[in-house]
Amino acid sequence: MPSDYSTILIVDNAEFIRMVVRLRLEGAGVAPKNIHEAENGQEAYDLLVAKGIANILCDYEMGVMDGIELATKLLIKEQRRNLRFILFSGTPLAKITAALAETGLDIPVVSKTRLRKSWTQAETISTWFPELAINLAQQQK
Amino acid sequence: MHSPAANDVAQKVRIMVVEDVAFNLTILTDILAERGWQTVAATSGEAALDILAQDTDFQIILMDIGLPGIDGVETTRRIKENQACRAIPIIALTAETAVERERLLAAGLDGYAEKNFDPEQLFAAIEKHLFPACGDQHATEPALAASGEQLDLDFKALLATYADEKTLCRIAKAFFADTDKQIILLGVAMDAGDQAKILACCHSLRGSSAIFTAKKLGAAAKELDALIRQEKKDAADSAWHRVLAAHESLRGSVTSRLNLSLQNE
Repeated sequence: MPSDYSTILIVDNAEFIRMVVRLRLEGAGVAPKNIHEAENGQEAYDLLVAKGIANILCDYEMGVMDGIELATKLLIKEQRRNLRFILFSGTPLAKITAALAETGLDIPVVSKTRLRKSWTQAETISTWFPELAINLAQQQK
Repeated sequence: MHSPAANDVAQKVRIMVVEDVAFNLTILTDILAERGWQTVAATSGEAALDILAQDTDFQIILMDIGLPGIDGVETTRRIKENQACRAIPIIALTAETAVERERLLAAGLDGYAEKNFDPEQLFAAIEKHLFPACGDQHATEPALAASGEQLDLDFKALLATYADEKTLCRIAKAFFADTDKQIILLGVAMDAGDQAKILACCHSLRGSSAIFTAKKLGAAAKELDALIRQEKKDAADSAWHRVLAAHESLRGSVTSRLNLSLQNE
């Protein structure tokens, strides 16, 4: 399955959080049909492989396969270099940074405090998911 | 949700943020903007000193400690040597231990805030210096203490951020679907004395509450978290009942305000 840069996957065990993230993404211009959701890392992995989703915004702490485990599987074990993977968490950043250092993962971490404000395509999406932003810009032309 | 005095002050507050990581700087700037505070960024200790040589009109300086070049402690020492800016309170942004924090205070820093970017903690640490006459209660619960109200939810903020009541209703239903589950799991974990699960539930409740502006529920979960970590079982049991009460009270507020049925969703 080729990578689809117009799609994004939200991974969080809380429906409430997934819904707020979805609203933020839609507010930034991402089409609802291009936003997918998963409750945990395992479900996310299956969905990603089946649909070729290229952008993931993933919670750090989840019951079944947490964010670090999923990122390790995708980016280190399977070497999926086309994937944009962002960890999304309410956990203190220092703790996550330490966990990332242990695995050798080099991925951005975004605080869930960013959910308290609307997101913009120019500032938020292009910073986190540049390929998705390019895709959105092309659609708008 | 702030007092008129706090709103007046907000227009005048300028905060220098000394932080070398651009990502952290963005988060901090966003959080401070929620209070209407202006920020000026310095990405190193040297840059902070250069700015202060030209402009000392800051009410607070937030200081990262692990800076490249001269670190946060040395930068603070040099700021405190300068008569023109020595009175500006400097708050360390730190993920360090209690012992390390004492070292920072001894080195001349005026306070510290957890480097976990929890907005309420950050506001509390800052407002303790902006409104010192208001004392400790204000410092720990700035928004509630400033208004004198004990509101369950900031509907105005929620409507501003989610645009309309229909969307807000969807959000509220999802919020209670999740927090109802967490409350059940928390009850089971409390009965079993399972510390890890209790802390996980508190973490989840606090995160959701922060985004949903449910201050009382978030504060109750935070209190329970702290008591569990301190292994104060009796106090934790009482705190657990306050979590339950805050959750039910919140449901009542939301049900009434949004004319929603949230029972058995």
